[in-house]
Amino acid sequence: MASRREFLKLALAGSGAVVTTPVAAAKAEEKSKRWGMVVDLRKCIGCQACTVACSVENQVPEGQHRTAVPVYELDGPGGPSQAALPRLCNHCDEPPCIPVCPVNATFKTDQGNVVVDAEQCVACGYCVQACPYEARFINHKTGVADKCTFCIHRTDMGLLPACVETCVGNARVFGDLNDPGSEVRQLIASHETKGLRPEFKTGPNVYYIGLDDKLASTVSVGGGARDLRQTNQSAAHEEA
Amino acid sequence: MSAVDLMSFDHEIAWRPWAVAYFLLIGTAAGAGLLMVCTRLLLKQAAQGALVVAASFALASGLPLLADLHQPARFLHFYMGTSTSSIMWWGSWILPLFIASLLLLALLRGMRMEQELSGLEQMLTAVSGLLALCILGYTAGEMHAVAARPLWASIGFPITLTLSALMSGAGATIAYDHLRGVSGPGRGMLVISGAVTLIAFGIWLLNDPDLSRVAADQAPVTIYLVFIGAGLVYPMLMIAITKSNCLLSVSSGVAAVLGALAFRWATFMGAQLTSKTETAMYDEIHLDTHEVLQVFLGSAGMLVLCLIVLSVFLRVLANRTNAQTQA
Repeated sequence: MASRREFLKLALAGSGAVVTTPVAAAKAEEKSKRWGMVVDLRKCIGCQACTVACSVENQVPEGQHRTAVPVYELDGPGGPSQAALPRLCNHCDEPPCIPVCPVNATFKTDQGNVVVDAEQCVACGYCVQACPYEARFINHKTGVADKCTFCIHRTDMGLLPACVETCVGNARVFGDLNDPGSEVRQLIASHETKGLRPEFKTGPNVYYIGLDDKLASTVSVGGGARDLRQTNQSAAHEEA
Repeated sequence: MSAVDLMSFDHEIAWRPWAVAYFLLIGTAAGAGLLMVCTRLLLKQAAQGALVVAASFALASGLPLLADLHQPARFLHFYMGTSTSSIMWWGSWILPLFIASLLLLALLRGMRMEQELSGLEQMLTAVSGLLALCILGYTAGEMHAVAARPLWASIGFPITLTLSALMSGAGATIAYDHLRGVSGPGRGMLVISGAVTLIAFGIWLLNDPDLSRVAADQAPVTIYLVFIGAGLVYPMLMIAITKSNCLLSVSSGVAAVLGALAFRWATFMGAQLTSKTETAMYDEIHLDTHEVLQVFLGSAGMLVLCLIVLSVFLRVLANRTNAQTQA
């Protein structure tokens, strides 16, 4: 027969289990999530609403971007066509930015977000060099490495990332890649999707529908906006 | 060309000119350190100049290294955890050990004036040599590991970076020794490393489209001309022709260091101006800006200060040791 003390212990343990089980279950469910994004380029019109929404939401300094939508003119059999390509951190399965960090300031969360610990970062810029997607930068305001977090502060509260919520054409879709019923999984299952820079074998978790092969790997551009700006800057420097 | 960019976005170069100065100073220190080790252990000669140059360059490299961090006050974070997958983390341990070994060796040498090697000095010299090799390995490996920068990830880059560091170390030692009126070691190392650098760089330039593209598009051709002409050919010719001409020897040594600087500037800045996604617009850092002036004057000033302090300190120490011996 159990003593009174043992009985109380059992009773407390039992009540604790009753109270913590839903929390533990929710935590386990949260842990089993793996965030990903599908960008349907057929719907993207290059309006930059996502660029602006991200900058406002994350207070990114002027002139710097966690996401942006460069626009290209592509040559095709039917003549030139316009292509908008939203770029952001790909939250890779094998992110090249993490192993190079000398102070372990950048890491992957349980849900797969690649994030930076701003208190730990020494801003050596090594991760900026290592990222093949040019998704990282040294933030002017904070003085540390900065990048897209899939709006982790929003997703933790059950909200969508700012860029997804603002996308007027629903070109950006965000969800749990581990959930077979999620919209992202269904889109991936029903469409041919591609990732950027497959040659680096980083396992990106941003999938593109309708991505032109010319834009998937190293893009060879010329005679465009950058050329014009570079020429203007060189001229301005020479004048100065 | 497969596309025309209609809209591009600004990015900034992450490794600023301070990084160029750091890699020059630490590479030169490692080159001079290896010269000192070879001269001391194999030829059994003093190599005082090489030791002072190695220690001064290594000590001075701390300034551009910290200045290149955007959060220099957090440098202790390197030592508060382990990140064995990062070559930079290994470098953060190798660098202070290298500096400490050179300073200890200089102190020991200043306190003992006789030519023969003591056991402790022999051991410290060997450790310094090993750490100099580690410095060369980590600096080349740190950049070679960046697959996203094809220029740095190519085979030719770490080889040329290392060889030019050896040449710069030999050049700095020759210049320093001649300035203090001593004909020290380094001539052979300068000629051999210069010739091998020239061959390696030539093969790399002819075979690597990334390098030739960067050379043609991003970095001014004059910088490559400085590297090849003033940095490699001129010192080799002068050292081979002249034996004891002070002015020509000093100018050859300085030219070798400037050549190493030109190579680092061209490849560090040129590679970073190349957008990895061909979408970002990088603002070029011109040589005549206040930032570059600050880097060069700051680094050179720190270097001269270290050279003077170390030279004077060793002289005072040697005089005191001599006086004690005579007494």
